[in-house]
Amino acid sequence: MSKLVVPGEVVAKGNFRSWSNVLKKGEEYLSIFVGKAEVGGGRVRVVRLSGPYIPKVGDFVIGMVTDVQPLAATIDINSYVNGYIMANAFFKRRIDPSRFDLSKKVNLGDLIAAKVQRIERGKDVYLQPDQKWKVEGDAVFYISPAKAHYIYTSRSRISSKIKELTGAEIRLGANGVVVVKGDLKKIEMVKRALDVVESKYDLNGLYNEIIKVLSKDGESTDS
Amino acid sequence: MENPLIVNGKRTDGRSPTELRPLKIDVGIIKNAAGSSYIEHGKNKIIVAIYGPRDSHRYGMNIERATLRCRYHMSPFSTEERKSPQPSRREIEISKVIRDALEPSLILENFPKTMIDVFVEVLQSDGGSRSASITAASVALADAGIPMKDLVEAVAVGKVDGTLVLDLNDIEDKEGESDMPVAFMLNENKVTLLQMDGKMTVEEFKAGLMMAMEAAKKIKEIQKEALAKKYSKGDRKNDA
Repeated sequence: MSKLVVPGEVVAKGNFRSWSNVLKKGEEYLSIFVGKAEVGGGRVRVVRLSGPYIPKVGDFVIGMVTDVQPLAATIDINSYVNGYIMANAFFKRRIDPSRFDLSKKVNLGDLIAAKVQRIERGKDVYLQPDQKWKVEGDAVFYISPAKAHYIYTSRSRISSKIKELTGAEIRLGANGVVVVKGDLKKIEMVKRALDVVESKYDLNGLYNEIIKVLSKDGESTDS
Repeated sequence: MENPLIVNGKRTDGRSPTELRPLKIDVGIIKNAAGSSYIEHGKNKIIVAIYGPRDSHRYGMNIERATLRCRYHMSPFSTEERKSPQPSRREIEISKVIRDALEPSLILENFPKTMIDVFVEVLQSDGGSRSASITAASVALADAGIPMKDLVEAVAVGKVDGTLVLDLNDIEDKEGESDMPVAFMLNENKVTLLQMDGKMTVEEFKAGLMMAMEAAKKIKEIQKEALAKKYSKGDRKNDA
């Protein structure tokens, strides 16, 4: 069972093998975020409930192209830092900028799916485009990046259920960007499901809540 | 003494010397901000909004951590007589004081070369607005998801008619003998702000500090309740 904690609040006392989003002070573990504390299995962590997307190597993100230069494209990844995709990452080899034009590959406003490849100096985020890097959809939603992990992970039952119940094609980024492809009804259903994710602070019961909301949706639109 | 400010142990607003004014905090009231709060501390009414962290390329930026900027501003209608909207010397000083009081509580190293803005807008002022601003700003920063070692809570103590009093109101602030705003990080056992106008003896100072610390514990509970109220029922920010 998780407990809501605020910065400075003692999450646990004792010795733990691993910890995240907490400060260790003697035997005490203090939360550094508003979040839900999870203690058990030799681990203590606080799942934060607010805040910007903090890029991590290996994260899959969806971002929008905001600038195209001969050697790199700048991507808005819904964070306090921009992401960069080098031109050779698109062409998959070293390129001569006088012969290749990156603007023929990507344009301003394009949505791009990519993986965080490396982070330099704590803020230069270099991305590796996904195999299907061009993201096309009918609607883009932004959910709180702190809550995106509920549905982002590939193991997430929640994201599979949303896809199954809505029938929409959905691409999710760890940065809270959700791109939906489908008709208006499907888009509205996804939006309702995302609203539930956004409004619940606790994962407990979220899965059932989404099923309830989407089932109601299905009934009301069918009748 | 012409007009005593304490009569039969009661102050001008009916409080005892060790009593706080009524305090209410709401969290997440501004949709467009990363974090926000609204505080009513006595007759003080203050809104705080946090923007950032955001990428910044300003000359002189700290490349190791985020830069915290603070703007304390009193609305023209916040005082009895219209206040010029231009930032005054006092507002510039208080902006710096608030920033310095909040900075030790934040883990700014997580966001190198970025900027975090704290906007404090005083809608109604009644003495002790800097303390109330610090208390509210700390909650707003927590709401914005900025990593923090502890919440910061601030309150003023002072001397009025020779008596130590807690949480001075406007008249006591202006006509009292001394005023000492203090900000605490209670878990860390640290004082992040201590200013004093007027004079106190060493014993009075020590007693005043203890009085402020006891009050800060109560304020911290109210801060926690405000955050819990928003997050336990869910963040409805996107519905606004």
